[in-house]
Amino acid sequence: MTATINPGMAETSFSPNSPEQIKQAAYIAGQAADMRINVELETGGMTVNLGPQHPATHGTLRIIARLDGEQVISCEPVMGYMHRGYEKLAEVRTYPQITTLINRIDWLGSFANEVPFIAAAEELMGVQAPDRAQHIRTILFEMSRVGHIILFLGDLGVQLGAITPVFFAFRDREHVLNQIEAATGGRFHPNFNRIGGLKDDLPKGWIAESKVCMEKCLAFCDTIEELLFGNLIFQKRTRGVGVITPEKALDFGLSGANLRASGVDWDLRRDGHLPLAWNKTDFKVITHPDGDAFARCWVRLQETREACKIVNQLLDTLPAGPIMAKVPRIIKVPAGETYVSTENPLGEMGYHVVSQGGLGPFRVKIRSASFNNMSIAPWLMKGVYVPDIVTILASLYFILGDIDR
Amino acid sequence: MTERLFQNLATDLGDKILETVVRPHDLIIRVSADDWLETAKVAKRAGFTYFCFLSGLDWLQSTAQTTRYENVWGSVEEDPASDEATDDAPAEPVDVAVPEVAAEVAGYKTGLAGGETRFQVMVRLTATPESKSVTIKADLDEADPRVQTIVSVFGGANWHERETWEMFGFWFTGHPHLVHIYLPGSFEGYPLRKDFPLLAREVKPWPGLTNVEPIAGEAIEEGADA
Repeated sequence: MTATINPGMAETSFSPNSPEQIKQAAYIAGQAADMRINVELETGGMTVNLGPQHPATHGTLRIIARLDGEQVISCEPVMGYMHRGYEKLAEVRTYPQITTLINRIDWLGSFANEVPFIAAAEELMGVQAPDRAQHIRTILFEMSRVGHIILFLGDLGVQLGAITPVFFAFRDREHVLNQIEAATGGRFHPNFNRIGGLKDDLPKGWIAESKVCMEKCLAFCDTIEELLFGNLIFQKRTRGVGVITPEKALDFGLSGANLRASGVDWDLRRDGHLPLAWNKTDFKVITHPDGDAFARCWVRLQETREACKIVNQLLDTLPAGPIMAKVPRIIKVPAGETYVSTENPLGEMGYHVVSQGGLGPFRVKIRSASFNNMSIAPWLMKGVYVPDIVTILASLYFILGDIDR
Repeated sequence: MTERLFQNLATDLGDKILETVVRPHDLIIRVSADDWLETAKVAKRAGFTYFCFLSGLDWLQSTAQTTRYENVWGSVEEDPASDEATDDAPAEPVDVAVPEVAAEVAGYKTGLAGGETRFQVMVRLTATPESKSVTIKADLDEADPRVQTIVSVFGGANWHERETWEMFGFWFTGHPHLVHIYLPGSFEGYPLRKDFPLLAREVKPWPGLTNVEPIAGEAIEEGADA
């Protein structure tokens, strides 16, 4: 920064011969020495602690970043502040009790968490939920995605310095939560799935209300697109920041919008093998070739619109019929092993369930999306500037409960 | 399409595969721990480029945890030998009255693709264009469970191996940074091993003393005096 300083400044041909001049010469020499120190001053070796209480981390994620000036040399996320050991706890619980636990993994998309686990248990038992139950599951699944991503879009603004979007987000997410609450009885933790179907049918008038709700959500998408995505500052801060190549994305097991923003066309709603109702709807899998922070946010915005579209289609084609299959009163799952995953709001959420016959599982491995999505952070943050740390964290989008489990 | 993808992998691996289970959308294979790294490389070359997860399995029958709640629900009778098995790593697993599982070798009731030892490490990889997956398992030595790291093949394995080491105590040779990920550095023991007691359940038997509804014909004395 100060490479143009004249190093010979102290050795000028100025020869002092009066006390004032000697004083002046000493002053100049001192200044030059100061300048030389500035030139040689190192800027590396500074360590910055982000969190564990930083507002940009949605919980208690701590990031230790080693800086050289404004650049990150290395960064290490520190997890475990919210580790609850669900895999161990699941081993001492019965299958119906475990849905209560897994509601709290990704607390913004709780309904979506339940579905793959229940589907795994159903697969092992050889039970299939009736058509109507599968439809309602898909509707609520997509609704929880809409509510989830609406909050992401609002929060994104806050993290990049725009305060307004979050107020819109909290207002419009409430519509979705009201609908989920009306159907399931719980805003955040529905605990609504049962092995073989659902706890209850939809309440009266719910379908019409949901359509209104979806319209409001679509309007929110339009607002946020103008407010945020059309904003030049937002674009400058996100375009070209944190670029992930498709190879790296696959290598680290990124899933969901993070993977599709790198141009990998893979969506478990379309490519998965669950008997849910996605294959009966018409929706686009959104991809973006850039792989930067902007692409990840843009893909999520478009996916919210697609999710609203899916809900609207399913509300029109909701079949009549029972919502529970015939299952025994006490659920015992025969011996077996399976892995079932779905495309949750954050990415691939899967459960590797091992049963040895009995009331509870022998082992449950919870594959959560955020854990893999965050594991790319040390690689991704090498060489970025300090303000971009927050941009990258925001665009990778994680829920801390989903990392720590 | 599916068959070709799986067949290519099987051909590439050759006699490294000890056991195979083919299901409609995924393939479960078992290899020896020595071939672990090589298998991961071959699978990646064969098109399974998406790293889903890596974890461990402990096939020890944990009698303390399973029989306790089954007693309350009155489904399985308690095995009198089960209490002795809870202290430290038992040399021989105790039989619990559960239905027959796919394979039963050397006393361990293992899952798909079998197994001969107590510990197994497994990794799941997916070929995204076809949406087909392969789960690779490897048996590990009980006294010294160690296997080569696959971080050089899949970068995402880094954190998963740290978690597996922390939870199961499997040592991943050559891992760049094998330190605790969730638990504090001073933590002792490997929590997801079946012989690691869940303290909350030891202190207060499941499902707790206050909310037990008696099921007809069942007494709950066991919970009452604990």
